[in-house]
Order: sequence, then structure tokens, then C-alpha cells
Amino acid sequence: MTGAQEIVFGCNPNQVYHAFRYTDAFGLDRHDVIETIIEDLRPNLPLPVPPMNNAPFVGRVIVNGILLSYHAYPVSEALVNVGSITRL
Amino acid sequence: MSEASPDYKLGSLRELRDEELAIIKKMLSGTSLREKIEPQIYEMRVQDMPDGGMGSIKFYSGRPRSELEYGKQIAEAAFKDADGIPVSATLSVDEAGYLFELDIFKADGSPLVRYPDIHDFKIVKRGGKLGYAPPQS
Repeated sequence: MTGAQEIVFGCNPNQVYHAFRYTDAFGLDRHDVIETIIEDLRPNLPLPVPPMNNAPFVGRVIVNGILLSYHAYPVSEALVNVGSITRL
Repeated sequence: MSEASPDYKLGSLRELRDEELAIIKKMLSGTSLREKIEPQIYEMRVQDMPDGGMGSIKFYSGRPRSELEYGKQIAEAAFKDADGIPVSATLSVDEAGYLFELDIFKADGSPLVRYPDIHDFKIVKRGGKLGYAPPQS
């Protein structure tokens, strides 16, 4: 749990694969990516439900020198789903 | 939309569906790359991505392209699926400027029920800002 909202990176194996497809291709450790994104996202929690304009929260992090963008959607008051992690 | 295969393989090559074509054209409409890219889309083949049925597609340009050839995001949009769940769509090009992916990210990760009516499909402009997008005009 992180604050009032748990942060997940996909809700099934396909989505987890999809979320990390770029960082896997860059050879980044998923644990490093997860920890860095959670650290960046945590101060912004809780994300309001529903999200403004139906659009996700967007953040940027650097993992092993690679600048990444991520999207975070509040699913509920208890859950945030992170995906669309791409290189900038 | 059905659940994607858990083997993480891309689907078979196919043509764009009309509803995919409509939202891609709308996403391109506000970009500087429209004139270059729009003529491509009628010829392009795509493959369904193994995203759990959310509807992401990868554009095929005559050969497989790895994620390492990703160039940049050129447009973002958002809508509500038929079940009321918010959905994000991002369109990207490869390093050479050719269409690469239409990434669909549904908030709760459930399979996409249907593509939206084009009037409910809203372009998101962030102006380079992080966090939530500013109110859209």
C-alpha cells in the first residue's frame, strides 16, 4: 500500500507485460522502474476519482539515465493503475 | 474485444478498422505530422498488441520493429468506455517518423468494450506539463 491508494502496474499478466515492454527492451530492471515511479507518484496521491477530463496523471522519471514517461489512472479511492511507460 | 493471448505475441496482420481509422485521423488532425502521416494510414496494416484486450495496436511497416525503434508520442486523447471507465489513447511514431503504436490504456485494465463515438473522443493537450492535463477548450 502507498498512502491511501495502492499502486499497481497492470491488473493481469498481459497488462504487466504491456506496461513494461519498453523498459524491458531497454534492459531496465522492473524493480528499479517500479520503485522510481512509486517514489515520484507517491507525493501526488491520492489521485482524484474520476480523473479530470478522463485523462491519466502523467509523470516523468529517470531510471539508469533513461528518461521515462508514465501514465497513472486512479481506479478507485484505493487503487492506482500505472501503464504506458515509454521513453522520452 | 477479447482477452489477448497470454503468450505476449502480436496478433495477425490486418487492416485498420473504421473506428480505429476515425480516431487516428482525429489524433493526427492537430499535429504537424498530419500531412506526412495521414496518407500512410489507408495502406497500413496493424497487429493487435497483447495488452489484455484494451485495444492497443502496432503499425506494421513491412518488417517487425522492436520497442527500441520507438520515436515519440505525437498525440494523446481520452474517452469513457461504454462501461463508464476512463480510457487513454496515445499515438506514437518511430525514429523515422512513421506510425508506430496506438496505445490504449483503460484505467482499470479491463478489456475495451467499444471504440468511442468520435465526438466523445477528446484530444488532450498538456503543453508539456506533468500531472493532470489542464482543462481542455
